[in-house]
Amino acid sequence: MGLFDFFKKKGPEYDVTNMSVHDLKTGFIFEYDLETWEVKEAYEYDWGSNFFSREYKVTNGTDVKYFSVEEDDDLELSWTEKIKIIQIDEHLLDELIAKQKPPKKLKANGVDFFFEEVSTGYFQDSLDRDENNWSEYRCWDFEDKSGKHILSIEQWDDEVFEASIGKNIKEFEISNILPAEKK
Amino acid sequence: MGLFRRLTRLGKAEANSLVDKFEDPIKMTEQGIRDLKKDLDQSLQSLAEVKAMAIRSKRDLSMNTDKANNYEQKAMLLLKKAEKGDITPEEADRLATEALKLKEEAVTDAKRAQEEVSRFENSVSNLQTNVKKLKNTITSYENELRTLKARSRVSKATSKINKQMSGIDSSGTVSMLEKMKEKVSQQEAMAEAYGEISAENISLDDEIDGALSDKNLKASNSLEELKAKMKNK
Repeated sequence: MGLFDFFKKKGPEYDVTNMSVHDLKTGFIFEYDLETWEVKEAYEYDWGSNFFSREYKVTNGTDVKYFSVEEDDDLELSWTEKIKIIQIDEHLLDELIAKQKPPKKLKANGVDFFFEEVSTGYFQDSLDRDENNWSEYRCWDFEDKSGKHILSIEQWDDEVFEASIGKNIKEFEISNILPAEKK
Repeated sequence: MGLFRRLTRLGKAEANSLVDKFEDPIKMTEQGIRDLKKDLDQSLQSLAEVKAMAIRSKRDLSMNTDKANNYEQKAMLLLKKAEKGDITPEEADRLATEALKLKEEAVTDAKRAQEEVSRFENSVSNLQTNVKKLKNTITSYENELRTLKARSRVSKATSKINKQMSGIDSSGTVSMLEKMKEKVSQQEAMAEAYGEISAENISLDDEIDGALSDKNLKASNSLEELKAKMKNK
């Protein structure tokens, strides 16, 4: 830190008159689907080649959802929730453990999902804590025919799998982003 | 008026004039907007805090409602067990009464949470109106400042050009162009004059020397050789 940095007043890292999904951090508040959501945790994914994406665990007081922000040419946003693997198929977990990958087609909540891509990267759950604690992670992405609904199977270890289901959303659907008080 | 008072007034006038010179209205406006943005940031944080409290109260409301339903279910189960003879009616009554007491506590907590949710939602709506006003004010100030900056830049450039065009600015571009034009004309005149002088100065000796030059001699020898060659053929 230079001598003059000491005198620099640290202002907010966002433009208060024009806050966007890129500014989100733990404690921030926003509106989606006519409800108010609070960011409880912020995660980061490193997909290699200097490509990162972010995910936020959010709650409206009764439900917990996951909001993902990915900048890949265009801004890609998704809104998901955890789903038990057994809810997709009662034999799916056995298949995942045996084959170490899911089948190309899955059905969940009455919707047919088709395999899109598999990505391997690293995950850290301490985006706001300046820690470097990455875990290896693999994710198979599925989409329905319309491309609106999404399903993902996540692998954390040889026998540890999770699933989430949701939909792709547009940036304008997220509104009234409010910053958290600085601690 | 006393001399001292006049001197003081003079000092004040000079100091004010100096401050006026240093005061840049654009920079002052920018600072004003920065200050307003800081106020807006604080207001947004307060609004976020109230909204977060509303979310927590909503969570409490949902949790206590579930709790109340759960204790009521338990009390009913206890009474059913007593009917079946699994436990004594006295024991079932005692436990069911305890369960209903806990249910009442949960209902009271749920009621409190519901009141808090309503109160926070009212505060949110008031705060949101004020925040929106402040945000709109800042945005309009920023837009106005942007326009003023552009107008100021254009007017500065226009005044510079006009000053140069009217010839008031002796060190400006127009006078430089005039000087350049004059210099080029002089150089052209000079070149023309040298050309005329060099054309006039060709003497008879120069012509003779030219005719006898090595180049001419070689050319004439070549001519003679060619003529001889043609005769032989």
